[in-house]
Amino acid sequence: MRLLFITLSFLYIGFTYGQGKRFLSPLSPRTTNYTMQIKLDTGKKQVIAKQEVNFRNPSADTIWTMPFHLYYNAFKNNKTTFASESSGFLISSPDAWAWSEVTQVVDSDGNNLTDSLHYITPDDHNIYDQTVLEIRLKKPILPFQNYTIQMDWQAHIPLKSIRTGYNKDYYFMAQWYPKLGVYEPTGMRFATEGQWNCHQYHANTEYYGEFGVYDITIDVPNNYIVGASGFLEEEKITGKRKTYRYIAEDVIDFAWSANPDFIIIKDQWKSVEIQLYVKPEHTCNANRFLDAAKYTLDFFEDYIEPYPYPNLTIVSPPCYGLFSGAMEYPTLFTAPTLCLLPPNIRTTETLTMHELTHQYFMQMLATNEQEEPWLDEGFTAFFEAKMMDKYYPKGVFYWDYMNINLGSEEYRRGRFFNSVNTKAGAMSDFGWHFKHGGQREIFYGKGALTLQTLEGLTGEACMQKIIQTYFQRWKFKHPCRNDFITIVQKVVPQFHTEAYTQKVLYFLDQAIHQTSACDYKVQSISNKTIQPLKGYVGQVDTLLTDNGAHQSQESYEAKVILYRSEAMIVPQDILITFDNGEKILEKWDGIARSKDFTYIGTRKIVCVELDPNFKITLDQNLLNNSYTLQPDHTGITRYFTSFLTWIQGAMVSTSTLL
Amino acid sequence: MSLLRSITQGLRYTWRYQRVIVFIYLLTLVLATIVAYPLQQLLISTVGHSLLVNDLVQGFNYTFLNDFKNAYEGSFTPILNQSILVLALSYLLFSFFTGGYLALFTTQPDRYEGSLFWSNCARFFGRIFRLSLCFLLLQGGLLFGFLSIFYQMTSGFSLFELECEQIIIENFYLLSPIYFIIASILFLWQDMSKIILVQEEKKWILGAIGSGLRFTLRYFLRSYLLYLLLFCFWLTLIVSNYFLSTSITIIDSTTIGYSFLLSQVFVILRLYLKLWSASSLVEWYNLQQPT
Repeated sequence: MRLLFITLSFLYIGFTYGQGKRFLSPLSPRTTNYTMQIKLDTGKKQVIAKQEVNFRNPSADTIWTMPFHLYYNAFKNNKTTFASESSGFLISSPDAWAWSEVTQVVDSDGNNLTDSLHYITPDDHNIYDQTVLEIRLKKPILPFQNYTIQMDWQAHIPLKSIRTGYNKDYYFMAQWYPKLGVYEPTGMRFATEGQWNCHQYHANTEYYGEFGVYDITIDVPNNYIVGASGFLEEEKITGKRKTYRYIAEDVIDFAWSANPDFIIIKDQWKSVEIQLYVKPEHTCNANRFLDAAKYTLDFFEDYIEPYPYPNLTIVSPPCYGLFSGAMEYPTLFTAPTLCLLPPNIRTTETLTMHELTHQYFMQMLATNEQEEPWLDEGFTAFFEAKMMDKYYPKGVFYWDYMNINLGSEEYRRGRFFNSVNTKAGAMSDFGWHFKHGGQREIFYGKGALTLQTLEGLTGEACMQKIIQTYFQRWKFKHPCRNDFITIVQKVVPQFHTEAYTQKVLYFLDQAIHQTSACDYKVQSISNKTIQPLKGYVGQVDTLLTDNGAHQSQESYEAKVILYRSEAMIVPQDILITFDNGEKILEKWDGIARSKDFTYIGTRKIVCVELDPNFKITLDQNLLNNSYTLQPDHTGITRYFTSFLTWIQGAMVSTSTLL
Repeated sequence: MSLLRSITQGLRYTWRYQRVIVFIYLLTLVLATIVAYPLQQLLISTVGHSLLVNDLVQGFNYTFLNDFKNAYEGSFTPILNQSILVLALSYLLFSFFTGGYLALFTTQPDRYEGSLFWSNCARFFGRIFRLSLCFLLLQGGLLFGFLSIFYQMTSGFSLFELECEQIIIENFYLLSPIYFIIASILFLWQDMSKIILVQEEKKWILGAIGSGLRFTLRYFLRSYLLYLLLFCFWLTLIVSNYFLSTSITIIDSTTIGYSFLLSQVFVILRLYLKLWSASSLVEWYNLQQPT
């Protein structure tokens, strides 16, 4: 049996990965493919490269232009769009300016296209911004046809920039090459007609890329160790130089890192080789990275489907390379650590889980991170919190002192509601439209809370089905929010009524497209004694008085009044407890601004709980979600005595200064 | 032997004048209640009927604290401001009492004498307060100096400039013991100056500071040893407090009561230790004087 299992495992691996680690059949459409030979000049801090780009027109359109991102030009001067939008843009030395320049472009017919190169600024018409380069083609790209161009380019690497660059002997090369935009045919995402999607580089947004195969040969000084997206195909030393050839298939981008002191720690999760590139001083935390990575891979294997790539590379930057920390790229991510971190401060694990989750949300489900950042960051934050609470039950910042610990999900919620402006913009807004901050809290915090609330409203099984269906339908494609909503629309009726589905969809619409807040509260409980009928009823010859009334037990009009204090409408569960111990679970569509539930009988209401199972984490104040007529102040007494003792302790400590 | 004698005699005199400790303790209790009671009332009036309050029995509750802060920040801020005010007031009150209890320890009456205590509280208040401000400046300067050195040694805490974050830790480990030694010498000097100010009825604080420095330097080794010994008592008390208080699992009013009683015992013990230290140093100072 065991032998059979091993044989089957090898057959599976062999079937999935054909020659070496290459896929036998493509996972993605492989629309844009790159072959590059690059040379890293560590003296000049430059990259000199030759690149071949093979593009397959995915539409019935005839295409006459090709736009390329030149991200390094964001650091070319202090008036680029990136610099203008960035509050902390600071160039400390002349070496810190960076640029990227395409020196020659030739198509496969030998036409020299260099003269047609020009910069475009589709977002803001900023004349100082050169982050999008457009090529006018001499021969159009015909529908569903391949088109190849050769480019020569070089780039000056930024010093300690945001996400990419170098510092001392550490290089982190992300968004470093001329990267072709994504061609969106009619009907794809929001495209009403075929169009290139190639935005300028904005300070608050990340990236968007097309699937393809990257065959990259990196030439570095022979003492440098290189880690990169994909898998290592070949490694060769020639004199004082060394070349690494990496191949990454069915990915949307390619990043690499180089440093002479990297130690590579290898581990295995099923057929996936995990490589941790880490400086010697951080090897002490190697297991923290690897365990968290394996937990994440386990989780997604169960929740969605197994990680399909043969490799996973984790780069833990040195402290002087923190500018590159906590970023995600295909099959590679960065996660910084500090050896002085106590084991129960779990930022290493949190970052690993978060960044690895991006392999699913933004790498395999290649959403547009510039236009809809919540589709990757919100989903990732949602799953990060879920996994942290599952695998590290004491919480994300678990500080084992005076019982202080904090769960990951509650931390995410708190972080969002603590932000300066929880209504800074709608989640559906473009990332760069958040000119006055708040985008991070909205995309990460509100995004995660929206998904948590969606899970609360629909149930865990339904949510898993939604995510699985969304993934199966859109993996290795470019979904947008409408595609996700369509999946919700399709899956929720399998678990709930059509009417309830509409309520869930309305909630989702508000959460995604509006800035409204959510707050429901229990306003009051009243139990009024019902007076027996007195006076004349009908004929005036019979007077009903108290004496005539005969009641064995008093009757009450027991009433609870609920308020919707904010604009957002979410269906609510209400648990009502009576003095005889009876409990009733009521449902409320949550639409009216106020609502009462009234019961006539001999029982009195003693306690009311809105959303008793804490399903609606988007509710901004959970304190007013319940009300009891029999309050227990033991907890308040604890806080009172603790506060009193702290003040006394502070007084005695202050007296030490005397 | 004289160190041991100072400590035992100090303990004897502290016990003899324990009414001072009881009084100061009650004062801290009243002042702390003045701050804590409004908080309790605020909690009862705003969230007292919420079921989430039940979770507070277990202690730290991030969601409760967060939602409470966001919903009632306006009501909570005055309580925080009030607590800062009470801390400042307690500083003044402790300055006031210092002259009183030092006078008791230096004159050593057979039993507590209220008139002696209160008259000397008032008599030395201004000088003790000014003296404490002087040493506060010195301590502040010392801290600033060490932080500046630390800042320089770690390239301004700039991780981008450092080879490794271990440099920060190594420098911290290097500098903190040196800082501790110098700061504790300053405290010793301050305590001796206070004693000399009261014992010798110095009119000018500079005279007391000068005499305090001369005494500290002259009898440095043994004085410092005594000081470290007293510091060890303090450390033992703090560690015991931590372990005992965290060993109680709070689940209901009874355990809250036990925990509160324990914390009050430790407040009293800390006050006791404070006066015991002062009394021992007075005894040590007297032993070094020519008979």
